[in-house]
Amino acid sequence: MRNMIILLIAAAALAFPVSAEMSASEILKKIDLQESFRSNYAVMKQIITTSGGSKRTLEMKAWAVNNGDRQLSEYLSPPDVRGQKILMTDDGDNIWMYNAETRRTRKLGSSMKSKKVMGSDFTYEDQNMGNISTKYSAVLKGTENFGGAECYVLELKPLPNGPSYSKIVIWVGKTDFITRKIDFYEKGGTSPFKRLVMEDIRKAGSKNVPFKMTMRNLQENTETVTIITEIKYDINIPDSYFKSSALGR
Amino acid sequence: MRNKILEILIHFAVNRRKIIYLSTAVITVVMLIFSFFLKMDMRWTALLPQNLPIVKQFVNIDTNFLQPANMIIAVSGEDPVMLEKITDEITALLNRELVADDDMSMDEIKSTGRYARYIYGKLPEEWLERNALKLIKPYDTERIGNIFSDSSLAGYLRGLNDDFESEYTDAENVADQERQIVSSLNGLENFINLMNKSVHGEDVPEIMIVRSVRDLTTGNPYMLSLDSKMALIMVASAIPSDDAQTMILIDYRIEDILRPLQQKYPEYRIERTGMTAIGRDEMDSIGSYTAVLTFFTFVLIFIFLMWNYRSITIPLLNLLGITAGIIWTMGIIAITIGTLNLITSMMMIVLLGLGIDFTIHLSTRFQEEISRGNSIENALRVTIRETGKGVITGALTTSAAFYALMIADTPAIVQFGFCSGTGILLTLLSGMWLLPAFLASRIQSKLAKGKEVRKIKDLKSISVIAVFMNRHSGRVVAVSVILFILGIWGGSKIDWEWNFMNLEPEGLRSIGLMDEIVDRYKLSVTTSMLTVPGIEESRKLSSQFKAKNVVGDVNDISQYISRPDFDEALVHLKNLKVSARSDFKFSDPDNPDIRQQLAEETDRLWANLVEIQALSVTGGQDRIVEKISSLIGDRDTRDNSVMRKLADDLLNGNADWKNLKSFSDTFSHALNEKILRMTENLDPVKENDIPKDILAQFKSKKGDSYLIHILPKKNLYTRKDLESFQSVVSSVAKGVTGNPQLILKMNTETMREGGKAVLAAAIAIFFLLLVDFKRPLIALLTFLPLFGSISLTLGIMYIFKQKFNYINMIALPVILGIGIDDGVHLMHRYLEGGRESLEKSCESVGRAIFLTTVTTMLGFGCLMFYLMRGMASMGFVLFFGVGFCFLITITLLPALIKIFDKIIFRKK
Repeated sequence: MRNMIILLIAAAALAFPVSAEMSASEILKKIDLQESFRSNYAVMKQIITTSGGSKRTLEMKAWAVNNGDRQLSEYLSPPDVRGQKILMTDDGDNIWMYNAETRRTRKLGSSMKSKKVMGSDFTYEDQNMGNISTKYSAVLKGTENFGGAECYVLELKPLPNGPSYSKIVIWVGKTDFITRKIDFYEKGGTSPFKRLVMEDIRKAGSKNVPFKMTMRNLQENTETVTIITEIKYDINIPDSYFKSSALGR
Repeated sequence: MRNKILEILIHFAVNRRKIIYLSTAVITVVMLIFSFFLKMDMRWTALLPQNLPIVKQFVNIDTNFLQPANMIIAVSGEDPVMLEKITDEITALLNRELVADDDMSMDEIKSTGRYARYIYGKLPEEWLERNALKLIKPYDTERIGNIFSDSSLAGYLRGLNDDFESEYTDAENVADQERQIVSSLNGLENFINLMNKSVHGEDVPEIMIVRSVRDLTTGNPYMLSLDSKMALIMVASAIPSDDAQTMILIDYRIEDILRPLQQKYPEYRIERTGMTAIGRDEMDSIGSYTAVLTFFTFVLIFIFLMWNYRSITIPLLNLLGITAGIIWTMGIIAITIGTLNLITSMMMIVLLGLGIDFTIHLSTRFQEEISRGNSIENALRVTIRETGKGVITGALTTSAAFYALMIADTPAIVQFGFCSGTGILLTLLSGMWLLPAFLASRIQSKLAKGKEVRKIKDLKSISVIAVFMNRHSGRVVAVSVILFILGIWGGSKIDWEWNFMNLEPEGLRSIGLMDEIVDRYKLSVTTSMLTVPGIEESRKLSSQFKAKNVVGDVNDISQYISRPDFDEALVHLKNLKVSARSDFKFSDPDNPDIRQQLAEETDRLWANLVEIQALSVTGGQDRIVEKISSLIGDRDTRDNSVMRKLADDLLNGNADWKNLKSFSDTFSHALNEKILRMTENLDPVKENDIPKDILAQFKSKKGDSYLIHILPKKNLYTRKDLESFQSVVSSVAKGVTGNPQLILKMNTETMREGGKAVLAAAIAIFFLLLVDFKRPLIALLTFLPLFGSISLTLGIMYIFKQKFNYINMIALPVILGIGIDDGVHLMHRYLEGGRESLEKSCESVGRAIFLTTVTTMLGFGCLMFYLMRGMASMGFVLFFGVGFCFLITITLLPALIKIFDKIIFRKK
């Protein structure tokens, strides 16, 4: 599931030299281009740390197609959630949840997009950022070094009917267009309430992918670390994987 | 100036002893009278800056609101029905024996022992029945309306399942509504168990079904734990919490009152906890032990001194000399500050340890001079002029070190600095004023009786060590530097003790019970509080606090008052009333359709619970997971769970349908009746409608503000927990206060100011050394053993896995204050004797500094055996700190003297 973010922020190659005069919208398009993919499959684990310091580890595998327009994740552990599946289609507008034990599928309301997924610090819409150039307007705020890479710093405000955040600020590599950091702002907030940091950027096939992502809720002192243990691109995934009626199979 | 004073002292000791005795007696009696007015203030707030907003707010709340969480009675046992019964009995008994009348004066309250204002055993059931539905959001009223619109058994289960499926769809929804889910699961668990009994042919008494209906509708009015094996009763005291001595009495009284009930119900545990009970248990466990320990310490020191002086009288005179000074100190503290706090209450031990050093130096030198054949007058002159100088320098540097602590902002440290600094000066004064006269009188009396004056044997071993170190100065310095570096490295690894309970005596039941409450309730009773001017503000903030995941629960007045949008809820309430009146029907389990419905709805309920449990596991809602587990087990034990078996038996037709019909009829009837009573009066609930004991929990005595109680999910024992909790509650509102905030502040202030205090003490000592010796190099050489002692003490703390805490942090400047004496005396004697006098100086001073070190180490060392772990840690630090000061003075200082003696004497 979380691989969707990775896929969206991952750069496909380093082969697009950019002039220093790029506009914010051009940078957004570059990001979208670099992060686009046809399909992928990933295995990952997610470590959720509560504000009290207790930790829970979830393991899952996930499939996605079409830049994450349709994605399915299945939980492997802990035992109490083994077999549970979450299906998102139509860019996150439709969400279904399947419980393997009760064999029931429930459709969640679209209001759930801004809710946390399975107690983590990621929301459904965080997992489905899609083409950001179609969801946000951007202003280039400057450049800054982050995580050892020279980055563009962009302030993104959602377009009408866009994501629920009041704005996000992203740090994007100037040469590889990989997103290194995102600060999330709530409505009325003057400082970020969540921060996503992408690290351990490595090659996966033809793409550069951050294998570790840390989402930290700065208000509640909680943290979710997603670590990819396996990822493959451009594989064939049957359409039936993304049908709610087939979740029980 | 100093010489003039010394001459005056000599004059009085030689010629005017009667004046000394008389003046001492008068001053001591006056100060003793003043010291009777000294009060003990053991509150946390007394240790923190009084102008801090959290302290002001805490004191304001403490004064203006009741604090029922300070005294808690926990009843635990297997049967929840019995827990309710015992709770009722305890409540009635305490109401009869302990609660004061409204018009009672404080004196009457104290004289009658009616120390309580209210007893909170359960919420008033009738009031809840009349008003519970009028206190919730319109949306929730609609949900309740849907759940209870059909009061038949199958209808109720259907309504419940519909609600679960529409509401609890995701981990975040489950998290947001954790309290509601836990509350409904409490009632559901009991209901399922009764239904299960009925399906399997057991008779279920009507009263149990009625009780179950109560729990499903208004909720259980008792403060029952999640596992229904513990009930809590809170006692709101009528005594202000700053009256610590009476507060302790309340706990004794409660114990007395409850003793017969404990005997009546031996299968159930009736125990006390809360800050008052912890305070009392602490006093009980250390009280008699402390007295024995102090007596033992005195005896040990006395025997040691007796052995040294070969005399009973000299140790007695030494102790008398400083006892006067300690009494003067208490008198001065009574006049100036008026109270002793948690830290300054240890003053007497510290002063005893420090003051005895002065008298030992004086009496040792006096005995030495007399042994050499000097006359009493000459012996007094030499003692006061020569040793007195060193004693005064030592005392002044020590008191300066303590006075330097007064630059801190924290009253705990400021008062400790003032009391210790003043105490040192007064014990110095009493020692210098009284002891020479005592010693002279004693010798005079001995000579008059023709008795022999025993000679004190030299302590050669110290000078032998010093000379050895002097000869191997290079190696000694090298080894010392390595050890100091290692010590500092170890010190940098020492953690801070954030769990205040770890400073208390081990194994206190009242503390253990606090942890047990967290286990059973999944929330801590260590509350944080906030006052607000209005009810709606209280409602708004309360809702925001509840949304935070570190918060276990929030109690405020708005829970008991209808919401401003009550009119929207009214529509749903009216509908519910109509449906209860008109649609009432018994479902007939004889009817196959109804049987099928019952089976399907039970199976559906099982599935819903499984899904909610899965969402709770991922969301970390442990309370829900635990509660649901009692019905459906976990993934591996599902098939054997009560719920699964019940659903399977109904689906397979293996049910006692006749019995179930009886259960169903009683349930439906009771539920219908209950709904009718709950919807009888649909006027909104206002402040005036709230029972006065509930109102008193939230409304200030002046009536101008309301209190919000915020309960953390767990006891906050680590820095991370404390800071997270504080950061989260502060993000909602400023001004939240309570024990978590005070503990956090207390620790951070002591950490910050403790370091500052050590530095200030060190600077003050160095400055005085500079003034005394007038040579920076000599001042530095004399100072170095202190630095070394601190670093080695840190090292030994690291090796023995000791942590810093707010008590032993105070010990570090104390080490500086005590330890400097050794170096000062040795250096003075060395400078007095000349370049080749190291051996002689060590022979002469060695005995005294050895004696002072051993007595101080004995005094502080005994603290290590204190049950109170905070005090024991202070004993540990002082024991090693003082010991290292001595060791370094007789090892490193002679080595340094060797290296620098040419410079010292060339310039001189």
